[in-house]
Amino acid sequence: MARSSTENMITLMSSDGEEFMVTEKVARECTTIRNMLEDDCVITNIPLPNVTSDILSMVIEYCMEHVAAAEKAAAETAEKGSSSAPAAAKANKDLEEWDKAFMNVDVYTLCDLILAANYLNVSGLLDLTIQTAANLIKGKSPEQIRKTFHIQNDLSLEEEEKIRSQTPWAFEKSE
Amino acid sequence: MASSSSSTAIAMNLETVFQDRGSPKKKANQISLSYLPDELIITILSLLPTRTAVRTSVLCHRFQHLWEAPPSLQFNSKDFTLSKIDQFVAMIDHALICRSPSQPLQSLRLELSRYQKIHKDDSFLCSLLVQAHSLGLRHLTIENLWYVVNFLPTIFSIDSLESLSLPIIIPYRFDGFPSRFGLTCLRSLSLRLYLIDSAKLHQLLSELCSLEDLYLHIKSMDRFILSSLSSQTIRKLHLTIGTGNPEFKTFRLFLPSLELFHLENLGFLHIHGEVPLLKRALISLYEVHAEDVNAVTKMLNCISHVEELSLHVTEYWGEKNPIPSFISFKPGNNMPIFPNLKHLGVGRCFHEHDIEAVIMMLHKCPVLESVMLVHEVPNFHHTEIGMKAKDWESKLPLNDDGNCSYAYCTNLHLGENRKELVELLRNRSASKSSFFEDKVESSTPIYFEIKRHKGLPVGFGFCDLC
Repeated sequence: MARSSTENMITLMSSDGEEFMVTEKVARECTTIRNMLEDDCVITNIPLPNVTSDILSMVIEYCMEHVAAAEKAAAETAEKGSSSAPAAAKANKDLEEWDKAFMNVDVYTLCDLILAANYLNVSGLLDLTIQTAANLIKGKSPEQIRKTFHIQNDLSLEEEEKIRSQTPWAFEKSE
Repeated sequence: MASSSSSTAIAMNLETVFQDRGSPKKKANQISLSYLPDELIITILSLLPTRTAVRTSVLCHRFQHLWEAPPSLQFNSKDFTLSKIDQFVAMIDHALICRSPSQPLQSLRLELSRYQKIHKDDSFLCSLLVQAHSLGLRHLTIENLWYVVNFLPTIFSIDSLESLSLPIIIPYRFDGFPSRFGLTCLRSLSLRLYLIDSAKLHQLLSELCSLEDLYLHIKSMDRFILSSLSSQTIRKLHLTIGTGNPEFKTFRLFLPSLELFHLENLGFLHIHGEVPLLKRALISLYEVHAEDVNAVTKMLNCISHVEELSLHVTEYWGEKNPIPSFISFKPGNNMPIFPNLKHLGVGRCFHEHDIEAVIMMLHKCPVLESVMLVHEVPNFHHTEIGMKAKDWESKLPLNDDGNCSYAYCTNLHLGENRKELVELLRNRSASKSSFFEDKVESSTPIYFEIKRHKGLPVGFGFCDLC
């Protein structure tokens, strides 16, 4: 994390007491933190009691990657006087690939990330994780969805039958 | 997970997390989908087709009713066989008609592939649309409903709509076309037209006072003629014309707010008009004959103030040769000056005369920063019309990949770079290839970014039309 000393550093503390030092720019990717900083600009230490260290480090990783991509695009714009559309398109594609690889996680981590992205209000990460979760549900039977997300079925057979009978069209096999 | 309280340990922590990634964690407090708050689960479900979302009702108690109020519904009749189409109706009935007015609906997508064959009665679809209206519907997409025209009065009265996408056939003398439209909030409209009375379309556009994005796909100009488009508010226009009518050659645009113009068209159409705010143009012309080149030049004259131009020209399949040049650059043909053009892209089957046309354009673009040239061999097979492959070979300069399929040059606002590029191209146009190769080895300051590809998609990224 070698950064120039002129940048403001913020310490984020996870629920399990681990501290993460990040630049203010990275921290500001989280709207929740940005609002805190705007309310109180001298704050340098922010406890995040709802986020564990492993998830927080992933959120920071995501924010760092996206800040770096934005900085790179801005630098290119400054250098050339205006943005070059083809280069920007390529950079976007690279970032999409990165996001895709970043989402290669187990469902527990995914759900933790959804909660953290929601709590910290990182809209890009929230959209990404929510879409990933939706993709995991698509094309699956209820049994497969339960298995994928480790959901305990607490319905009795009768209850399940009753629910199915209310919307039989949802459970017919499509041909 | 190694725990460290050192505040500078983030790099190490990240590393540890990467190693953990992918392997299921063994932790006591694992949370999964069912522990997420309702609003997050509902957001997830709203990204799914309604039928799939409903399946989650039997996962566990928690999920039983969560699917009932997502802000968006997607119904697809493809999931149901012909004999079970009543179930499709039951689904819509359950999910939409029975929905309480306290649960607003933002978006509705209807795909009706086989539906039309069974339902003689329109009243069901009508009541569906009326219900969607009462729930404050903002985005409506209907696919494959060939008799959608019957519902136009209902659709056009949903005054909460912000975006609308419809396939349309409008009979030439169709009396049911509404005379008034309530779509005062509509910002985005996408229409696929088969037949339409152009006067009706003009009337529609003149009444849509908030419209910013318009996508018009005109299947064929054979049966109706649309000779102009005008709107005070449209900022983005995507116009696709499937087949043209050779009898009819001019198309006039009066779009004083237009910023982005995407055209996919046959080459012979003379497009002209007033688009003073236009910044980006993405022009794809197909089946261009040699005699159409003047029309292309004329169109460029009318959009010559753009900042980004992507031009893609493919010749008519029956052409014996690549057409002489994608623009006409003979004296007297009024080759335009592009005073604001910063980024130019040209997709072509490049040969000597095209190279000359590019050089010519470089001289007419005082503030140009980047040029992307892509060599595209037309889809048809040259041998079928007695051609040699050599005739369709790229005459672009050799790139860093050692081929001539693609050239991308930036920093052209620096005088020496531009001069160098012009020189490279000029040598190429005169076919002095050996001299040209010497130049490349001397490592030019021009940056050629070359990607291997099999023909870039239309527009190759110069305009994003999202």
